[in-house]
Amino acid sequence: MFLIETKNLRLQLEIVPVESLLLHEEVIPHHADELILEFRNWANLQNPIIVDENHMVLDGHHRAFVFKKLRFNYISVCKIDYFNETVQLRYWFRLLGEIKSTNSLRQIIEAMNGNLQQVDDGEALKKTLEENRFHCGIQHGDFFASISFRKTAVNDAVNAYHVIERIQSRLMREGKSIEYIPCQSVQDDKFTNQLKKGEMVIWTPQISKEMVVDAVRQEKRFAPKATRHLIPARPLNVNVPISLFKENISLEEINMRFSEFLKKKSLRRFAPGQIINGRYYEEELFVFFDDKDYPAERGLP
Amino acid sequence: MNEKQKTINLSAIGLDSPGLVSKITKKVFELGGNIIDVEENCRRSLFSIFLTIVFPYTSDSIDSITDSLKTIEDETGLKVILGEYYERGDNVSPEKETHLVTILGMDRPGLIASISGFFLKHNINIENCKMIARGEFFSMEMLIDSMGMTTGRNLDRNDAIDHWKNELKDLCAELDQSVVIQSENIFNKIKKLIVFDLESTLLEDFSLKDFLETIKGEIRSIDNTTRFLDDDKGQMEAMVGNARMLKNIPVRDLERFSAILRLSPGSNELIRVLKSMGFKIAILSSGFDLFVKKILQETGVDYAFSNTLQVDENDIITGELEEPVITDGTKEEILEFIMNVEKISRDQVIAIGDGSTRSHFIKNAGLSIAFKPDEKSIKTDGFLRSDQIINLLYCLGIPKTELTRYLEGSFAEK
Repeated sequence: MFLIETKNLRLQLEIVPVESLLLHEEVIPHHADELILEFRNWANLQNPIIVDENHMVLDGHHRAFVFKKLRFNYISVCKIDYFNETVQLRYWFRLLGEIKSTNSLRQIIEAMNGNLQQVDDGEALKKTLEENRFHCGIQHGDFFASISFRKTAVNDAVNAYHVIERIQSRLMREGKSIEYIPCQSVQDDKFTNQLKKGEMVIWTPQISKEMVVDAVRQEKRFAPKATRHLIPARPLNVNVPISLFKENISLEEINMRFSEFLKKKSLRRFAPGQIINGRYYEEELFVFFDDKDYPAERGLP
Repeated sequence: MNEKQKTINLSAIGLDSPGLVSKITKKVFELGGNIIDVEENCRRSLFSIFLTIVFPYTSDSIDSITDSLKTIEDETGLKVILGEYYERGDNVSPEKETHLVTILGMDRPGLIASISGFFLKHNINIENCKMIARGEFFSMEMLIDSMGMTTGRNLDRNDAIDHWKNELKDLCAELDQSVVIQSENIFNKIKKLIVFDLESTLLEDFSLKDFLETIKGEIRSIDNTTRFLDDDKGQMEAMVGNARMLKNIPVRDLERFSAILRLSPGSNELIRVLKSMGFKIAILSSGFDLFVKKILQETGVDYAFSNTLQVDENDIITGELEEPVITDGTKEEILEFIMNVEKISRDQVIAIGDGSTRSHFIKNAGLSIAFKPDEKSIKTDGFLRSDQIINLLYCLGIPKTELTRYLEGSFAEK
C-alpha cells in the first residue's frame, strides 16, 4: 500500500484482485474492444483505476471491464473515500446532431408511454430535474422540456438511465450522431450560445451517490456513460507492467512488490489546471516518474 | 590505405541528361577502378558528381588512367576534372569538429559571400552548403568543420569556439538574419521534445498588451493602490507575485478576459507540423491557468504548465495561489520533470524563449533558441529575429522536400 495524503482526501494506491471490482455501469462495446486489443499488447497500465473502499469502480470502468475479460488476476487501484464531500458526482449529457425537429423524439416518447412537458428555460429544467430524480430533459434551440415515465416503467435510477439509452438508440437508428458531454458544460451560457442548429441535448437524471451504491448492492448496472465522478486529486503515470497483473502469487506478496516498486519512483505534485500527456486535468495531480539512474521497472521481477 | 594503390579524384559538372552516372561508372569499371566515395547532385538541370576511385590491380600509370577517364567528357558532354589523391600528412588532424549552421531571413544580395567570407577569415571549412528556401525568404544550412580554425593567442579552444560563434551571431544580426548553430553532439541526436515559454514566444504581443490593459483596468477599479510594471511580458509574472490583488473577483469575470489572448500567427500550424513529425510539445507559462487554459487546450500540446488561483466554494478568487507556484526559476525543474517522464536526455530537447529572465530555463536544453531576443537575453545557440515563429521549422535540419510536404499538409488542413 502506498499512501498520498492530500489536503482533503487520502489516495491509497494498492493492488486488488480483478474479481473483487464492482462495476456500476455498462461499457461502450467498441471502446472496450479497442482497449482489449491495446492491453493484449501494452507493456504497462499507466494509471490506476479509482475505486471506493468496497472496490466499487468510480473511474476506469472500461479498463476494469477489459481486465476482467482478459482474465488478469490483479489490477492497480487508487482507493478513496467515496463519501468525502470533495468527491463529486456529475453526469454525462448526450449531444445529438442533425435533429430537424423534436417530432421523432416526441413519437419515441409517446410510444414508450412517456410524458414530455415543456418548461420555460434551462434554469427551470435544472430545477425540475433536481426535484424529480428519475426525470430527464431535452434542449433543442430555445425549446426545453422534461421527460418522465410511469413508475411502472421507471422505478429507480438505473431504469431511468436505461430508458434514456433506449431513446438514444432509437434516435441513432435514424442516423443521428451522439457525443457525451459533461453536464456542467451544458449548464454554462457559453455552451448554449455555441449550440449549432439542429443539435439537441438530452439532460440525464441527477442521481446521487447513495443511488449508485444501492445499484451496486442490487447488482444492477447503469447504462454506459451515466456517472462522471469529479475527484479532487489523482495519481498519474504509475506505469505498472501488465505482466505483474498476470502473476499467480498472493495478494500480500504482490502488494509488497507494488509498494517497493512505487517507493523507487519519484513523485511530483502539481496544482490543478495542467496538461499532461495531452489531457487537461482540473484536479490536483501526483505524477510518478522514474529516476534516470534507477528506472523503477528494475524493481519488479 | 595501401600505398601502392593508385587513387584518383574525379569531379564532373555539366547539364543534366539521363544516363550520366551509368556512363561514368561504366568507364571506371572498364578501367578496373573501385569507387570508394561518391556524391552526386542535380540542381535546376545542372549535374555534378564527385568520385574517389582506387585502381588496385592496374599497372597503368596515373597519366594513362587520367587520359582514359578524360574521354568521359566526349561521351557525356560534361566538364571532367581529375587529380591524384594523396593521404593527408600527419600534421593534419583527421578529427573533425563539425557544426550545423542555419541562417534564415529575408533574402538580400551578398549574404552567402558575407557568411563564407567570415568562415574563410577564421579558417573554418565549409563542408556542405544547401538552400532550404530561397525566394523572398532565404534559408541556408551549412555544415562546417572548425578543427583547423585560427584561435586567438589568449584563448583556449572552447573559448575560441564561443568567440567565433558570437562573432557569427553579431554578423547575422548586422545582416538582419536569424542564425542557429548546433554542434555535432547536438544535431546528431534525434530531438524528441520542444519546449516553449508561452509569454515570450507563442502569445501574440498585441493581444497580451490588450489583455493586460483590460485586466489592469479591472484590478484598479478594485484596488487603486496596485502598481504595474512597464514590461508587458513581465507583468504576467508580476501578477502571479501579486495574486492577492485579484481577491474577491468572481472567476467568471476574469475568465471572459481570456478570450482577448491569442497565439501569434503560425503558432498553431507550427505545433501541428511538429506534432505530425513526432515531437512532443510542452508549453511553460508563468501566467494563470484561468487566462491561458483555453488557448493551451486548443493547441493540443502534450504538456502545459501554468499557475492556478485558489477559488472558494462560490467561485470567487481568494487571492491565494495553489502550490507549487510556477516561477521563472521553477520552469527549469519542470523541464527536468518532463525529461524524466519522457525518459529523454537534455541533448534531445529544443527550448524556445526570448532569453530574458522569464525564460532562462532554455539554456539547459540541447538546443536553445531565443525568439526575438533583446540585448539583455542570455547566450543561446541561436536566435530568430522575425515575428514568424514558424521559421523555427527551418532550424531543425529537416530536408527541404520533407519540410515542404509538412508545411503544405499543415496549411491545407486549415
